[in-house]
Amino acid sequence: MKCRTVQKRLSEYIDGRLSEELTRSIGEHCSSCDACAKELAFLKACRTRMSSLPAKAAPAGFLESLNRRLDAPEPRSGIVQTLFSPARIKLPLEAAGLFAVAALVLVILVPDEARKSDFGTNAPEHVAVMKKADQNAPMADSAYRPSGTRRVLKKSSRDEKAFQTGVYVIVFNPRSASGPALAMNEARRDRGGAYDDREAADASISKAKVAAARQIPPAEQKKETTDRRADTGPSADIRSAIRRSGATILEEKCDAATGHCSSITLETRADAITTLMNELKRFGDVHAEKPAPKADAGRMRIRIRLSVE
Amino acid sequence: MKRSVSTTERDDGELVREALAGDRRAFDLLVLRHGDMLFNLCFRMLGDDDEAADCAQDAFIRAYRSLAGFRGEAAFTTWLYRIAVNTCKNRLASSAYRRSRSMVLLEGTGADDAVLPPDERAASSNPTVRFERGEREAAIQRALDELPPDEKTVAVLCDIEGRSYEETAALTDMRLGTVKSRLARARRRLRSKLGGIV
Repeated sequence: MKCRTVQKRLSEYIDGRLSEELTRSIGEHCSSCDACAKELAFLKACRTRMSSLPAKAAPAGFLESLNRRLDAPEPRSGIVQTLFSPARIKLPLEAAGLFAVAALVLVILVPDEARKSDFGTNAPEHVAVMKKADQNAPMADSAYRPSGTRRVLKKSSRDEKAFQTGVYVIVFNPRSASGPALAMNEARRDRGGAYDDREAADASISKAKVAAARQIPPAEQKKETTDRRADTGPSADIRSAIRRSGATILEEKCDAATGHCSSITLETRADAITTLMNELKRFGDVHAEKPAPKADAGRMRIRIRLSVE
Repeated sequence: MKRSVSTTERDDGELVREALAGDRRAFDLLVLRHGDMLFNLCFRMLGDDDEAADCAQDAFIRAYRSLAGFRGEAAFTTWLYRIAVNTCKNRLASSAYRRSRSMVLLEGTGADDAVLPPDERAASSNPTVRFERGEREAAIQRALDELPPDEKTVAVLCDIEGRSYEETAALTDMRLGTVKSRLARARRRLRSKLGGIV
């Protein structure tokens, strides 16, 4: 027999739990093997020491203490104990239930948009995330309602940090042929009364000029404005031009009162950049503030700043 | 537990029946009869006097509250032992116990308090012998405390309590083969821990 096999069976050997044959084989092995004999002696000594450990008596007052515990009210059920004892929380179940109901009511009653706000009601900016199935569809009135100044229309699928954004500035020239959109916006601002008198005076275009530029009869002006509200906003012409080029608008920064946009971030195909620029040039002079970014997977992101000369 | 109450007049079954009928003194007699044995088991399992007393009381309380479930098919001591073993195992597994044990340095196991057999009590008059025995017992208890709970349970029941493999299997709900293998493993571990002491 090998020592390894013998030593694995020594525990049962000293307890007399092996067959007669195995007991004899191990006994013979241990009589001729010092290592196994030593192991056997140790196991026997260990068992003897363990079995001769003195019996400990229960402490004085054991029975009295036990009876006090038996007479005490029975502890809470296992599940309650498990739920509350580890954290030492003494919260009545009724209070926990009330809290849960209050939280549920809050979730149901608070408007969806308010819950999505990152800044809260007192913040200077308001971010509303709008998910649209089709970005090229006409924007609903609520999409440009002046509830805030920055709107994220669509989240980019790309990593924000890795994807560079180029910045282009369109300087509107109201006197040029490409200025009617801004003129229209300015006229709307006047009608809405959102701008102060000085600002209105600064605007170098009048309602009549707007009508002339757009060739809209005075009687039709009000009706036309109302109609356009359904699917456009103050910067609707630029938005339309951007979409015509095949680009997707990601984010707009608009005036809270008028909806007039000062900045539009978009994503476009790299090969459609020329089409986009041609569309934008209709509104004024376009120049690059930051060079066009390197295309990432054939697409690039551009922020357009809209500026008045 | 010293109490001048005769506990030999009636057997365990009779005392259980009386306790079930509402006689609290009958249960007291059962506690007096088996308290030391249960405390010793708990002490060897847990290695601490206070924990052992608390755990033994827990076992008695559980036994008292489930006396109606004792059908007398096994001996009362076996039933009580089973409850105590489970209580100890639960205590060993509880995070609170492990935390408290990690913060407390195990000191002497208190051979002074032990109930010694008459021959050992005579030997204990020699301070040197007494000291050496205390040291050895403390080392054994330390080594036991370091065993995994299942191996410790088997080692305590077989080697300290002197239970057979079959009894140990019945008390711990283990199979006979499992008892054998765990006892062998426990002894090998003890051998490595107690190499120079035993």
